[in-house]
Amino acid sequence: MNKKLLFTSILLGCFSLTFAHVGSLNVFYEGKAGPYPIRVIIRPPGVVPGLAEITVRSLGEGVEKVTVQPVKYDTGPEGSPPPDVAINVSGDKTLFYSELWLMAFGSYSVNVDVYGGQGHGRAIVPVNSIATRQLEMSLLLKGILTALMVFLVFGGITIVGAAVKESTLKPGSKTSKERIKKSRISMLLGALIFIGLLYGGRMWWNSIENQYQENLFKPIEVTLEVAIEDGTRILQISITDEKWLNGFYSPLIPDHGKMMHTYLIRIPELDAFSHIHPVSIDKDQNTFQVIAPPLPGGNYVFFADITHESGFTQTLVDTVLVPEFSGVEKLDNLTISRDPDDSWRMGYSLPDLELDSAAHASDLVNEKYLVEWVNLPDRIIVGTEVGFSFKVTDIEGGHLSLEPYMGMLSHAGILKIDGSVFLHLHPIGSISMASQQQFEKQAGIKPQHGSEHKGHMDMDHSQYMEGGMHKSSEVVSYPPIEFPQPGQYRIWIQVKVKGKVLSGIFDIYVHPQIVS
Amino acid sequence: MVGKPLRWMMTNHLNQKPLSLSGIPWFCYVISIASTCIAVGLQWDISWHMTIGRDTFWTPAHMVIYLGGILGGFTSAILVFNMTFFDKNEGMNSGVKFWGFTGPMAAWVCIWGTVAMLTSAPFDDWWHNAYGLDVEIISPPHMVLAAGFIAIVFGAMLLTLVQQNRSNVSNINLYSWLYTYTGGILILLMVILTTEYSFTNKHHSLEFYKISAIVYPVVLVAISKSSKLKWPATIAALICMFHRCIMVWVLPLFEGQPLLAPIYREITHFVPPPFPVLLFIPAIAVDLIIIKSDKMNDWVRSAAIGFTFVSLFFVVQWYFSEFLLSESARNWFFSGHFNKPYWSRMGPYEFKFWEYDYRGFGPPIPLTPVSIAGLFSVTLIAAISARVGFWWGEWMRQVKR
Repeated sequence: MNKKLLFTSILLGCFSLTFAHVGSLNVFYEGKAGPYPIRVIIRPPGVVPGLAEITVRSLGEGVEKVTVQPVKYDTGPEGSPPPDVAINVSGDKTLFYSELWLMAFGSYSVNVDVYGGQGHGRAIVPVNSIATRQLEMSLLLKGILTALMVFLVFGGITIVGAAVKESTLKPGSKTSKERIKKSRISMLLGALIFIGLLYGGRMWWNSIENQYQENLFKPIEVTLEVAIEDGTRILQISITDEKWLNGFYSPLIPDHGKMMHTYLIRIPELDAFSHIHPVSIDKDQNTFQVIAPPLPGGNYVFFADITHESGFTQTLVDTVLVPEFSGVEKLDNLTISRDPDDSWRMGYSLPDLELDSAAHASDLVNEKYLVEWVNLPDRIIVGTEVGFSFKVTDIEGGHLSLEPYMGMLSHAGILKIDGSVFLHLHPIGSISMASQQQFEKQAGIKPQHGSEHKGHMDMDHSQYMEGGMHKSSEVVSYPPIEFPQPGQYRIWIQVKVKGKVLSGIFDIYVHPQIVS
Repeated sequence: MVGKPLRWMMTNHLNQKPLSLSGIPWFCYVISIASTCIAVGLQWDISWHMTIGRDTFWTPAHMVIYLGGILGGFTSAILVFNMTFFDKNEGMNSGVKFWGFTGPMAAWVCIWGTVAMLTSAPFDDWWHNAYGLDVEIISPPHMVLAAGFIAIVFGAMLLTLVQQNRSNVSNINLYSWLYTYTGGILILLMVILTTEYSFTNKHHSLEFYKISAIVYPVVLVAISKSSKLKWPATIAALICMFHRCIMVWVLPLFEGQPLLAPIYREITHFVPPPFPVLLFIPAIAVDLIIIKSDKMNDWVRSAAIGFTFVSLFFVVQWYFSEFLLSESARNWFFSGHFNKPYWSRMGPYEFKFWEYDYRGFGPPIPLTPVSIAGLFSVTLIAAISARVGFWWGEWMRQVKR
C-alpha cells in the first residue's frame, strides 16, 4: 500500500470513530472574571452522567475564593444547584480545583465566580456534556471480579446442596443416602440456574453495552461534493443526519460572524490548507456552499465547527475529492461570493520527523514574515501543558502590526497527522464565543466580547520593538495547551497583517508519557 | 484468644438456652436489625438520589446499608466460627457443612449475601466510570447488590425460622413474629426493587401487574405457609406497608435540596417514595386460601391464589391509583404531589397514567394497556409464582438447622 493510500485509509478510519472537538473534550479558556484574569481548564468525563474536573488559575493578584457552578442551557441558572467552592491547591495560591457532575446530555456552562480584594467577577465557560469514552476493565479488576463470581457461584451451589441435604434434619440426626442423592441433583439444578443467570446477565450487559455504543456522541453527518460552475469549484455541504433533519438539534447561530468555520486540508500531505466559511443556501440550514480555495486538487479532509442556539458545539468531519484547479476563477456570475475572511496557503508536505527532534520551531511565510513558536519546549509530552506563544517578525524590518482576524488576534488549527485529533483554538482558548454569548445572554450579563476577548492585543510588546515606536515583531499568546494523544501533529497559526492572512506551519512530535 | 464479650456471644448459639431479651438469642435481634437497616438505608438512599443527587461512599444512607451488611456478615461469621471451633459436640450435628466449616443454614446465606454486596462495590464503581453514573435501580451491579441484601434478609428469616420450627424451643410465637417481620422486610425489598415498574402513573399498564404477579405471590405464599402466626402473609404485607408509610411520612420532614444540574423542580425537603400498593388485601386472600385448602393439591391452590391475587390486586390498585393521582391525594399522608425527583420535568403528565415508559436514553417504550387476555397471562404468572412459593414455603416450614 503506498503512503498516500495508507494515510487516507487511516484518516477515514479515524474519522468514523471521532467526535466533536475531535479527539479531545477538554475545554481551555483564558479571559477575565470581572477584574480578575483567569485561566480555566475543564476536563469532561466522557460519560454521562459523569464528574468533570475543573481547574482555575488566577493570572493576577488578590484572588481569595473561587466558586464553580454547572448550568444546563435548558434550565438556566434557576435550574442550577448552589455553587461549589473550589479548593485552593496546596502550595500554589493561584490554583483552584473542583469537580462538578454533568448529569445530562447537551449544552452546559460552568459559572466561574471569583472573589477577592477587587470584589466579585464571573466568567462563563461553555462545555459539552456527551458520552465519548469506552472504558475497558483492567486485568486486576477482571481477576478480582472473576474470583468473587466463582466464589458466589460455587458457594451458592454448595448452599443449595446443603439446604437439601442437611437443613431440614433435626439437630443430632444424620443424613440419609437418599438425601445425599437429592442434594446432588439439586446442586446440578442450582448449577444450571446459576449458568442461566450468568448467561442472562451477560446478554443483559451486552444489550446495555450496545445501547451505550449507540448513544456515544457522533457529530452530525454530512455529505460533500464539489460542483464546477463556470470553471470555478463550489464545495457543497449537505446535512444528511436524521437527528438534524428531525429537529433533534437547535438551529445554528453564527460564531464570530460565520455559521460554519471550516478547515479544508489536503491529505495525506497536509500541504494545501484553507480556512473557509460556507454559507447556508436554504432557510432550514440543510445545505451550505463555499467557493473552494485556489489550491491543487486531491483528497481533502473537512473539519467544520458549528454552534447551536443551545450553546452546543460540534465539529463536522468528512473527506472530499476536489478536482484539479483550472487556474482561472470566474466569481462574478456565481450565486455565492467568496467570504473576505477565507484564507488559504499552499505549504509543503509533511516532513518525516525524527522522534528525538523537537519540532519545526519557525516558518517563513511569504518570504517576509517569520512566525516563531517562542516557548516551544525541547520535548512535548502527551497530556502536559505546553506554552503556545508565537512571535511574528517582518524580516525586512518593516512596521508590523497584527490586525484582528474575525475578532481574534489569531486562529490556530491543530491536526494529528492520522486525523484522530483536530483542535481549533483562539487566544481565549477552545470555547465557542457564540456559545459563551448564549449563556451570558441567558444569565442576563453583558457579553464580554470587548477588550478582554481580543486575545492578547493589549500586551506589552516593548521587548520586541526595534527602536522608538517602530516595531517589526509582535507576539500572540494562547493559553497553554495539552496534546491528548502521542504522535506527529501539524499546526497552522494564522494572523492578519496589512489585510492579508498569514498561515505559519509547525510540525511537532508529541511523546507518550513515560510510565515509571 | 477470644475476648470475653465474644465468648459471651458465642455461648449463645442456636442450641443453648438463650441469654437474651425475652428468651430470644441476641443474633435473632441483630440479624433483624440488619435487615431493617438494609431496607431503611435503601429507601433513604433512593430518596437522597431523588432529592440531593450528589452522593459519595460516605453518605448517611450508604452507612446504614453498610451497617446492615456488616451486622449480617459478622453475626453469621461468629455463629459459624463458634459452631465449627467451639461447639464440636452439639454444633457439628446441628448445623450444615460448607467447605469444611459448620454453621446454621442462615449464616451461610447471610455470608453469601455479604460477599455479593462486597462484589457489587467495585463492579458498580467501574460501571459508573464506564457507562456514567446510573440513576436507575435496575442495572447489573445493582442486581448483584440486590442479590446480596435479599440473601441477608432471607438469612435473617431463616435464623428465626429455625427456632420457630424446633418444637422444643420456648417463645415460638415471638420467633414467628420476628420471622414474619423479616418476611415483611423481604416484601419491602421487592417493592423497592420494582420501584421503576411500579410508579403510580403505571398502574393502568399491564407491565405493572405482570411484575407484581412475579414478585409478590411467591413471597406471600412462602411466608403464609411457613409462619406459625394466624395471618402471616397479611401481617407481613402490613409490616411492609407500615415501613413504607413511615418513609413516606418521615422523609419529607427533613430539609434537602438538589446539588446537581439540571434541576427541573423546586425541592426543599427529602422526596418520599410513592405511597405503597395495598398488598395486604390480596394477602388476606392468600392466607385464607392456604388456611381453608390444606388438603388440596398445591397446583390447584396455586391456581386459586393466582386468580384471586390478580383479581383483587387489579381491582383495588386500579382504583386506588386513580385516587393517588387525584387532587385528594396531594397531601402529606399520600405524598401524591411531591414524590418526583429533581431531574423530572414538571407538567400535567405527573398526575396522569402513562402510555410510555421513559428511560435515561433511547426512545420512549410504549406500555401495554390492560386487556382480558393480558390479565389472563398475568394470572398464569401469579399462579406459577404461587406454586414456587408453595415449594419454598414447604422447605422453610421444615428447616431446622
